[in-house]
Amino acid sequence: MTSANTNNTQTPKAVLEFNEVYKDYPDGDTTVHALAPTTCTIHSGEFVAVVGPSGSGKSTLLTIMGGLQKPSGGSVSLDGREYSHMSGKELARLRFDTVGFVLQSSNLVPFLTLEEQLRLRSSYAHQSFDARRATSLMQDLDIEKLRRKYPDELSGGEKQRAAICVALFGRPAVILADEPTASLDTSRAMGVADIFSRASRREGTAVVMVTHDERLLEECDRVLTIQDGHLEESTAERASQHA
Amino acid sequence: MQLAWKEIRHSKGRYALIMAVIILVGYLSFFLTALSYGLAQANRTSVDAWDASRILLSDDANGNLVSSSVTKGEESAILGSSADSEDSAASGDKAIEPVSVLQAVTKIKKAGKASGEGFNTVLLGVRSSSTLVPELVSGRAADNDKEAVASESLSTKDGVQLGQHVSVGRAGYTYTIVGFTRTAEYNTEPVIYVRNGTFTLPSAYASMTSASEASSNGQQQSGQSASAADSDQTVVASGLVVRDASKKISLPDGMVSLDIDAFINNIPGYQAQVLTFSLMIGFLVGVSALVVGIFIYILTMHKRHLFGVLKAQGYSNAFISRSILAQTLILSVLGTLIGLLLALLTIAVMPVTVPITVSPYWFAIISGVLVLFSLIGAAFSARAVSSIDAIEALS
Repeated sequence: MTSANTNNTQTPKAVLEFNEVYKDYPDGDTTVHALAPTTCTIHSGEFVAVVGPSGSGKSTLLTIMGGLQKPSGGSVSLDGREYSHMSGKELARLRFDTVGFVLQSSNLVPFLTLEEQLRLRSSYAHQSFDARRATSLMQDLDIEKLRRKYPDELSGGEKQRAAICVALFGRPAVILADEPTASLDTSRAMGVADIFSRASRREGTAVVMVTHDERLLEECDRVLTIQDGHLEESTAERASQHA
Repeated sequence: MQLAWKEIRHSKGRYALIMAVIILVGYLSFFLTALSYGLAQANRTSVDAWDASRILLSDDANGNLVSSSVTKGEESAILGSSADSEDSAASGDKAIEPVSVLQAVTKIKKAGKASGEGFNTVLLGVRSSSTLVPELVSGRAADNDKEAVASESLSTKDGVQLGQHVSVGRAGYTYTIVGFTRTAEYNTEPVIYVRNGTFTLPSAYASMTSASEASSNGQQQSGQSASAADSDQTVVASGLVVRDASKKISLPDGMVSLDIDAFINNIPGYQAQVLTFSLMIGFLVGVSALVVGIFIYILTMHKRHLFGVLKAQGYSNAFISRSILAQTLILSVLGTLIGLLLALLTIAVMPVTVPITVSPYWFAIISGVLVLFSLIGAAFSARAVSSIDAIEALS
């Protein structure tokens, strides 16, 4: 297993640990094995892609990683906390503190401006709003001028960058991205992948991106392939590190 | 709360619909409440002014003061049974006072003759210096049998003025209006207070014995004639008003004691009016709560994806539910306030002949019920949030 080089010298920390995790669904008289027993670890600062055909179990994997659903068996640790026995409320709090989601469709609140979306996070966490971090993130993502815009005033690419900004603002241990470039053209898709790549290096955030888009894989540290619920791991050097 | 307000401001059109429903229902509820209260007051203000605990009536009157008659013998028996050393009929017992009622058309007398169409009134006969007369707003108290004080509504609605002579009923009882009391009405008609015994009670005719009938033949004008005055069978009042709830009274045969609330409910038409309006207002508020609840539920279901996204990001069910309830609270409070304002404006331009009265107490209750019922309707939507799966955010 390869860990990414981060901008600090500490040993990368395991932020997601799957140990013999599997997921079965009842379907009438039969049982669907959505995810075969899987063991893997994602470290801080890693940019990992998960690829596979439709119905292969990518979404199941992502939802278990993000604590949106519990596995049928095995144990999952998120930022060092095993969540199988957590209540819904505890799990929601764990997600809020450690996971940033970037979804295929917008995960922005439609009636809040970009800055208000960030303020909502601070307010929910009972923290004062970190205006410097907000500005720095927006500048880095080149959306500073959009801070007072509502989601319906943004283009597809701007929306995705805004969603990434919201996801990164809470300094999550891991960002889980579900087909984040599905509706974007090549240059914008590459731009999003580049942002994830930089975020993982600068912030030490682990990024797991489910994608069909093979153009993005060269930006990733690792590529996990899933087929019929079986996860296989391959290693890829980050394109930027090749350079 | 802030999140809820931001959404309302951002989606004005969508929430304006819900707000409009609440405004219209609130407006109608307040207006009907003011009408209902005004009509109820028009039935009972004179009775409320008695500040009485109960009233004694003849048992064949079916609880109706107009149909009741109290004879001199009955009055003496009651006052005698309740009297103590310092509190006797002779000294003018303020705890039990006779009251007589006559519903009749009143006309203003000009140049010694009754003129004009006349207006419906109620003559209430009371003792001199009676505590049953409401406080005066102008003029002075009546000093003799020929003077009367009237409800100020006679002045505002019918144009009666101080010093004017009025003629009441076919018998033409004549009084000079020397004062106006604060509004006092009975069975929706304004009250004129006169000395008891200055007019003949209709019930007196029915109650008269054949002896008194013979002796009173042709002497109705004076009512309690000299020859009948000594008779125990002479009708001296319609009822006896008891102010002191603890007063022990031994009722003679043929008399009943009615709690004052029960007496008010027996005023002809009163209960039917109050019940009709109460049901209308109750159903209106209930239907409004249902409509608002359905609106909020539809909006909640419309926002399933957003709530799924928020839940995926770790926002709790409680946070999202609070936001829905806060939104409903804002909408219902604003809608109720605007409805109240519109109703007050409408009431302000109503002609004085419309029996409409603003009751801060009932308006506060209606406001509270409107907001509370809207919140209950929204609570179902808030509960539905917990059934929304965060995985829906990925779909």
